[in-house]
Amino acid sequence: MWPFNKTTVFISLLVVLLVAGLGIISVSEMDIPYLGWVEKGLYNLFSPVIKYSTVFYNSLRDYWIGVVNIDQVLSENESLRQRIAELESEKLIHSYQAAENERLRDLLAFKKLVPFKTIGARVIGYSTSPWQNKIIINRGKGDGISEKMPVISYNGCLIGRVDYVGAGSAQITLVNNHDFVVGGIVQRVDSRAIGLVKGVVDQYHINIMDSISWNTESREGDIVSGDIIVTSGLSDSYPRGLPIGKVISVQKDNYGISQIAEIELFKGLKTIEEVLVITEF
Amino acid sequence: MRKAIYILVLIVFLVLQVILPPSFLFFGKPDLLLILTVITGLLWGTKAGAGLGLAAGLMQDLFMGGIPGIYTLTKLINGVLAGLVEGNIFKERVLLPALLVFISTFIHEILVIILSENLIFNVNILLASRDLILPLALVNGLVGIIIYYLFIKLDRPEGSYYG
Repeated sequence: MWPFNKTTVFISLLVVLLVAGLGIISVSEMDIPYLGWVEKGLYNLFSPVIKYSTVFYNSLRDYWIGVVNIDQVLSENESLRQRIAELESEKLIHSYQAAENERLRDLLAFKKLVPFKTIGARVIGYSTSPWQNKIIINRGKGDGISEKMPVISYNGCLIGRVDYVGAGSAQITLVNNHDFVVGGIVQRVDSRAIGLVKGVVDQYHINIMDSISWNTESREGDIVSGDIIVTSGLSDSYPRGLPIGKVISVQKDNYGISQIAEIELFKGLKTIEEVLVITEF
Repeated sequence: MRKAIYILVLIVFLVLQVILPPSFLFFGKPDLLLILTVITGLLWGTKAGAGLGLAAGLMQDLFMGGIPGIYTLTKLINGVLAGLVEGNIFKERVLLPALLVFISTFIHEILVIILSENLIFNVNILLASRDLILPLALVNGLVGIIIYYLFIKLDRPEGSYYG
């Protein structure tokens, strides 16, 4: 066993104090250029390994799922073919309606709806800690990704924001992470209830929305179970109208001076595999 | 040579820790880096445990929001603590290391809560212990048995028969 004498205890204490000091610097987000350079270098060195390992792991997993569930895969394939045929016909109707919508907008001189500019990405990694809900995607600085860009699912629900960008990958803080905050608003036309949607520790599918007006008779405090919550767009960080989740309960907060709601997130974030990063909005 | 193998295992475990989804096992995914740190400390003593804990923590912090961070410190402490047990147990009994990994998980996660300003004010330690740390400790303990067994089979340290 390693001997514990005065020197070793002194060295151990010194190392612990040094690391703790550096940890405090890290937690307090002090920017040390040299350390940042080392960190970026190491991150970019490991990212390709993670990327190719994920590709390998996913192909192994898909092959296994295919072998085990061959009957299900075949019947699913058949039903998907039928669904594609239905969607093709729906698409034709929608394109006709979109053209009509555009023509009517021109007639009324309405401002045109500008779709977000997005870039698709695959999830190549997940958080290494049970306390943080983060994912790593296979797009980085080289693809035009930068920090604080909003991230959505393929069906348009808010998933999170870009937190850290490497050369070929980026880390996303998910909407259910405990330090994630976004302004939310009730989607219902007759309500203007606004609050802060926040992640909750140890909850994968539930967020809270607090700081909602106490006055349930006013439009600002009009929030009930079943309401859809979307991004408020009051800050420049997120576009307005991205769906976040559905209200499952509302109660008084802060001794009755505000309301707090539990929000069930639309998107299951545990098994997310593809995302869209909004690069412009 | 042994150091090179441990570094290689550390990198493989880091990659696995990142690519495995949170729903990998029923209770959640194991903390492979913590298991490796504890087993290294147990087999090779305080110095090796601290060294590997430091490296594993730095690597983990790299994918968690910047090095050095909380995991650098917590993994280092866990490596040192596991090293203190070295020489005091029969290393062929795989259930004892599993128990050590189980206890280390509790120490590790409670240290993470205490050191993280976001968690300390938002987490009920008793509830978190029951809902999050206990399942994680069970998974780590079970996976720890397999990893420990492989380690003592592949690389049995001198004098391991009698601790």
